Amino acid sequence: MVLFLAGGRGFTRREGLRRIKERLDKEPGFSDVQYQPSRLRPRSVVATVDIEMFVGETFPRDWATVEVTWRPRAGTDVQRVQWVDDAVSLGWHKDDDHEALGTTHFQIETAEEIVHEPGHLEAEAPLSFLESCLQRLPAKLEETIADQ
Amino acid sequence: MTDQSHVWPAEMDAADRVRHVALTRTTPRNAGWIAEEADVSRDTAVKYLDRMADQGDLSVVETADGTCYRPDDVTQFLREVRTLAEEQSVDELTGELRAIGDEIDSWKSAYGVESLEELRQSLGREELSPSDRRDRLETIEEWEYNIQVREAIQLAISLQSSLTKLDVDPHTGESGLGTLPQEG
Repeated sequence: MVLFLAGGRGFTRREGLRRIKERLDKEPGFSDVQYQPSRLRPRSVVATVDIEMFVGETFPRDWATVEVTWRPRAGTDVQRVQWVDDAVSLGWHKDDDHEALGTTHFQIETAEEIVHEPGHLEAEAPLSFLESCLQRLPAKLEETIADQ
Repeated sequence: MTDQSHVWPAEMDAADRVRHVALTRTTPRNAGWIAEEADVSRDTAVKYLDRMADQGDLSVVETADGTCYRPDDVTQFLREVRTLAEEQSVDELTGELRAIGDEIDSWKSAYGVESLEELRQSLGREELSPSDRRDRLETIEEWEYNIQVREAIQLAISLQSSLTKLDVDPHTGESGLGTLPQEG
């Protein structure tokens, strides 16, 4: 007996994550793009980032990882794009946390503090959400240098 | 400042954007909603959505929001099974079944339950904190996902076996004999 859940969620999820992986494979500076925990049962896509190649200029830190999570839900999907390097962990999160900050919040964590801000990002389609984050990342990373 | 216009990869054309939005929905959505998300006109969205529905990729349902579209469960499932059967070895498929079983066992142990249903029922416990409840909800979603993937993998293994009996290579689709074997 085949079990169908609301909206065929599992296969819908694989469809979204497949496109996310294809997109990250094309991004300059991104390498070793892999499904987690496995190719057959993906929940997120993780990549290693050469920071200077990604931002297109010299940068005080060398390497980062980016993890993109997407889980379709009835109503608003869960999506997170999380950047982690030696100095900061930052990302846009569309989930149940910090609803007062809007559909999506931005959070940045350093050794000293964690800051949560409104994310100003309401796109539902996984690739559209990811593209917005990729476009905004260089400016957010630039701010982390200014803060140092 | 809220993000008003939807940002898309430059190489994606209107058809690809509509297709991506429509195939990643769980809740049925009408053409107007999909058009806004995909950054196309409503007429353009309708054109591509109707084409996808004709091909069996989308189900069309009538809701309070009018004619709505969502991925077709059966098409998605059959495509999934076929892809798994064609692209994976039986060792990879059985390895994944083992990993799924191990993970479900770890959840049973961590939450002190015997089944997914028991974990669902545990959400009603008054002593759970909001974060405990959220954690359990997330595990329930992943458990459901594991079950769906397991169903697809089991059928893919069965499909590979059937294709082999019919002398069709599951990885190339090519027949060795060109005729079906006789029964008996």
